[in-house]
Amino acid sequence: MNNKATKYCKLLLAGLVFSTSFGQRFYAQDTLNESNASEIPFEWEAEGQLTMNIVNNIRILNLQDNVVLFQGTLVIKGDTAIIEYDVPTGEFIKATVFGSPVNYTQQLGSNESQVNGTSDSIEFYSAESTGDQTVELSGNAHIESPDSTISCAVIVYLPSLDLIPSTTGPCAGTFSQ
Amino acid sequence: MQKVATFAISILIAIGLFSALASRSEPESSTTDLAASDSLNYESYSEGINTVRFDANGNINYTLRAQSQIQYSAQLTEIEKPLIRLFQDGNPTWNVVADTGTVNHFESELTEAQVTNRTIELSGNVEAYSVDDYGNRTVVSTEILLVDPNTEILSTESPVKLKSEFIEQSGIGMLADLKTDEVILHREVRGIYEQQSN
Repeated sequence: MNNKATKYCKLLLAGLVFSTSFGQRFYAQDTLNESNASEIPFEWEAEGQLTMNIVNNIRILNLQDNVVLFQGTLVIKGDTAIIEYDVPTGEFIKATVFGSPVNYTQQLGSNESQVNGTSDSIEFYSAESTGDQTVELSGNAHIESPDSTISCAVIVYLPSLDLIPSTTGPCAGTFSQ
Repeated sequence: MQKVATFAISILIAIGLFSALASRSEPESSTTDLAASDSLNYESYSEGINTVRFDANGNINYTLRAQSQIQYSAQLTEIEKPLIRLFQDGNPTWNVVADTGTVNHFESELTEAQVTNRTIELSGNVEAYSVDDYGNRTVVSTEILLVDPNTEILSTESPVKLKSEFIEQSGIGMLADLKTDEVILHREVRGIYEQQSN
């Protein structure tokens, strides 16, 4: 009886260890996707000055000089940035980066494919209706993803879906599947 | 006879030299005594300090508590374990604590206007904290902080950290206007936003 109980406990322990390590490996990737985007910390750096103030219950952060924003594998680099979040709830609203140009890169999924983009400004936010993480490139926008290479006045890109739901022309480029 | 005279003259010369050397060393010892007495020259020492400052309208401007206080002159006071509480419209807004502090008074306090002109330089584990109208707590941490209780401006050239519920930021140098809720970090800014999931 004791031998069976011991054997059972060993099997249970082994199962727990295996499932834990498998789960950690499965969820270890910090690539932005729809299910875990809000759990990945959003970070920023700037060499210059940061100014914070409150306007209409929105906390506004102005960053100067070599600004970098990153969340997981998403990296946006520019000259200046504005980050906004809601004062009562503390929730992040959006980040806007300006540059000459602004550079955007992100690894997509686990297959190490990458998306690159440039534009005069980039907005990063969650779409209100769907909650999808959204990268909106405005002004001389150009993006290269696994499925498309396109230049437009404005490009809206959903990294979790590798999808361009909307653009504002004039546009030039190719879509591929 | 001649030998005795020579010996006597030698003795007199030796005594004269010794006297001259002894008199030259006396001023130094008196100077050292003066220096030692200057370092202990304070006007008053107190413990359990609890000061309340009012503005021109009679509202509390700020309060200052300290474990102990040494007043060296009319312009300089050192305090241990200070706690400064700032008020706006009679309501407490920010608390600031530190290991030590120095209260600088501007000129002599001859008029009512000059009475309120003072700054407090805090050093050692300085923390300023506040809770806003929505219950969000903000903590500012640094090693040296200059507090102007009248303008409610905090400033430092040292590394500083700001922490609120979801955001933590750091930088070198800060200017914070507590009345307008505007904060400036001068350079090398880093920040992280992380919402804790339940």
